[in-house]
Amino acid sequence: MQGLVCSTYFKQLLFGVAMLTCATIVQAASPWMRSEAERFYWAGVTYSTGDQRWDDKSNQKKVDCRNSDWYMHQKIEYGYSYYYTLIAGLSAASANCGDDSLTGVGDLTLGIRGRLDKYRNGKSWEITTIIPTGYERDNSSRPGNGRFGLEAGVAWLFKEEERELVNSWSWQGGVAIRLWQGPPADQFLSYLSVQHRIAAVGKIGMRISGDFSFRNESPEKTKFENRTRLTDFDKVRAAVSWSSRINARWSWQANVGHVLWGRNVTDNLTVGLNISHDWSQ
Amino acid sequence: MKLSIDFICRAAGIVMLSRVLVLFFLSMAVHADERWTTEKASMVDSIEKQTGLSRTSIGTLHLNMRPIDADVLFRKDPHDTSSFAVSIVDDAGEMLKGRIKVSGSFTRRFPKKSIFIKLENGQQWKGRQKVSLDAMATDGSMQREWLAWQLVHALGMPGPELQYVRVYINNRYSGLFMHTEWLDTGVLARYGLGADGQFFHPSDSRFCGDFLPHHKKTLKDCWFKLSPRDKDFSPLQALMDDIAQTPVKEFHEYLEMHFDVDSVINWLALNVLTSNGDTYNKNYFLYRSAITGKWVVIPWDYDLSFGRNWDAYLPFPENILNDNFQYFYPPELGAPNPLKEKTLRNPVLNQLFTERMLHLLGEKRHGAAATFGWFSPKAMRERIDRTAIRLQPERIDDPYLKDSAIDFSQETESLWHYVQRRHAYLREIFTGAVPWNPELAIWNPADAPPRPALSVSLFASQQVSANGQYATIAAPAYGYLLAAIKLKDNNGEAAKFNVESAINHTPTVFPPGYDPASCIQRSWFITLRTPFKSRVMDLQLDYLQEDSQRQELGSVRSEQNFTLWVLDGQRWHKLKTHVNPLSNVISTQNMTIHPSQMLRFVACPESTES
Repeated sequence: MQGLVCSTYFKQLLFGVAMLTCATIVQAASPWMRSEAERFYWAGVTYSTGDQRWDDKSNQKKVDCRNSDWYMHQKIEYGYSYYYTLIAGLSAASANCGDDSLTGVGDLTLGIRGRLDKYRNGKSWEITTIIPTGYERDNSSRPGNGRFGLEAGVAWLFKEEERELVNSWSWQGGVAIRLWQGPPADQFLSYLSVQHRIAAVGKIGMRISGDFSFRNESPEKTKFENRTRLTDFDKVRAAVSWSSRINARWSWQANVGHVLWGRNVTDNLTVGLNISHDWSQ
Repeated sequence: MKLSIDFICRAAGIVMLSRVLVLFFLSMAVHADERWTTEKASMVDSIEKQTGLSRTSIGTLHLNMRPIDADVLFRKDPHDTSSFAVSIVDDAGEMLKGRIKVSGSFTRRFPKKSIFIKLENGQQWKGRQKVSLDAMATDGSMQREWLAWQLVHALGMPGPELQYVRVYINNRYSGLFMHTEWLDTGVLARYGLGADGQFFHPSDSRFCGDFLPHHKKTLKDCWFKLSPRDKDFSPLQALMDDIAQTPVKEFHEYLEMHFDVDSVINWLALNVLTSNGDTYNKNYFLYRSAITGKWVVIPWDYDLSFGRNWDAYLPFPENILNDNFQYFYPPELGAPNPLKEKTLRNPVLNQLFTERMLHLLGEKRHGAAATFGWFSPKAMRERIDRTAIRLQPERIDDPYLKDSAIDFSQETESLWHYVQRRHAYLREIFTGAVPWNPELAIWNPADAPPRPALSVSLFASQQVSANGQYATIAAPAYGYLLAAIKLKDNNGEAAKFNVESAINHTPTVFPPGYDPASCIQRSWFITLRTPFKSRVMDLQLDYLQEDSQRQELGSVRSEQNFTLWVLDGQRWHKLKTHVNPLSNVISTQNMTIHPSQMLRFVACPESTES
């Protein structure tokens, strides 16, 4: 009996750890190229909640349950060479709303990033494939998107030279097109962010993102907000963040975001906490 | 009377005998010197054969890369650490395959970057798998490292061999580099220290490889272990404890037992001569030979030496890259380090250090003839000029230097000015003319409050020989150089001069039409004290630009525009002037001065003349 309890507890713990370290690419393309053989690891957990929804005419409507969703993401980046960075990510979710709930590993993403400017870092293209894992693809309570997808985008970063004890600014933006195999609508993804480095203290940032559907397919039936990515939806979201270094290699970031406007999307408030490890420091 | 004659005869005999003995020992010393010199020459030949690196000729290195990689290598983001495929074409035309990448930390931001090549296993060029090519980007003279390593080798210290090399990438000239032999235990084995010792190097970015007790807990962050490749830092830990626990008065015994004492003394001497403050917490290696059981210090990185000065008041990178100049920092300069400080404070070691300094300065011989006066202005002048002559044509074609704003002759001249001044300053210190108390030997300008501005008048009186050389006239008790005078009228007679400088003062008397606030904030006064004859001289006058706070530039900072004016007692005369803004020296030639005449000099910018 004790062994069974331990075993169950151990499995839950393992699953919890796996969830905490799972990730997916949560934005359009990233602009930063890794040096050859440089490794970068990022893991984050976000909590989303809301009891309203933007309907198909972009009107806010009360829904009959408040969702409470935990999303876990992780990604690794590896500098294959000066010209190419390899990317891999995995997501997981644990969500509930009323009587509906789900828990499980979501989608695997594999991608490659390349340089748009052969001399300077901060301008890149990126192609990512989205691969469903073993969950049931037509289940309306599934932890991933349920289809193979292909995402292609470009991103850029402009930042002032970072110096110790000196404040500086950086601006980042990216756009991507996400194409799905099968009926879901294809999407246009974009983001723009600005960060202000407060000397050696940390960075404060603001980010606005816009995801828009091409409406070339009908919405799929899903029960949870983040699965609407496969559906015919639009969303404009804003977030603020604070990030800081733990030591030379580890950093953390906390962020709070909210949907400003949407269509076919839950009106969620999201709180996130990320950590990252950079072997290049 | 008989007794007296007997006494005189005996005394004469003793004198004769002593003379014979002195002559015998002198001849032995001369023979020993000759033998040393011959051995030295043969050692240099042997090293050239072993390493393939020549100390006297400029080598050539051909590299082949993909065109896009070659294009990107020097132009990519400075902090990118990617490598690219490369082939070295060896003397037989064989392709040696490997990877090439930009090396260095601070120097990565320069257009001409240092590079590092690692050949594939089993491939070697000049007997080495790793090839390090220093771009010398921070050193406009391209000589600082070279000169420092020449002294290292002259002193017999272990260290890498160097050779200037022309680097061609895909048959296109990519500039002159310094091929620095990769420092590993193989180099140390060449010096009889074996290859299986404990080899450590302070981290370049942590600034804590200094044996200070409060860095004990972070020892593994402060140091890299280079060989053997294990995690055993206990030898270094024990060394740190021993240095902390050994009292100063017993430190010579400790050093004798656990260190190659010469390597410590020579390391300090090298840093003091070159005024290298960028060390003692980084930029050196420690090796404990398994053969001798003793630690050896190997110096490293001298690009920011020979007068270059860090500026505590400017942001990065101007704090490093500036045209500040100093030659007057005391022997304890550099980061705090108990190994340095206890060595300087221990009377036995201090005596050894002082003798080494006097020997290298050419003041008093305490060692081999080949190194006696190694740092004398005459020897250094020859060395600098000889190297400059070799480098000058290479620079003309160097794609990264031919259009740069660096004035090579100015850079070379500033090296020479530094040597003149540092020699004069150290001579004052080690002959006791300028007080120096090693008990106070802690130097940490970063922690020190700003020193009070100089607002005094410095005075010196000195006889100047008519030997065709500049005589440096330094302020007694300060060591600051006030002027350097070279007599031009070759009548063989020396002359005595009084030199006075009103330091850090807006000139109270100045040429008409000039704004004195724009002039250099110093006035110079020179008086010929030798009667009867007028003299013709070349003159160097110094001003201060130690850092952005302690300087005498006034409101105009463009030093090239300064012109020297002289007041001969009646009228102001504008002089043909040469300014070296790097060494802060204003020169004029063929200046006539009459007996008892006091000449007043000021330097004002051309553009403010009304």
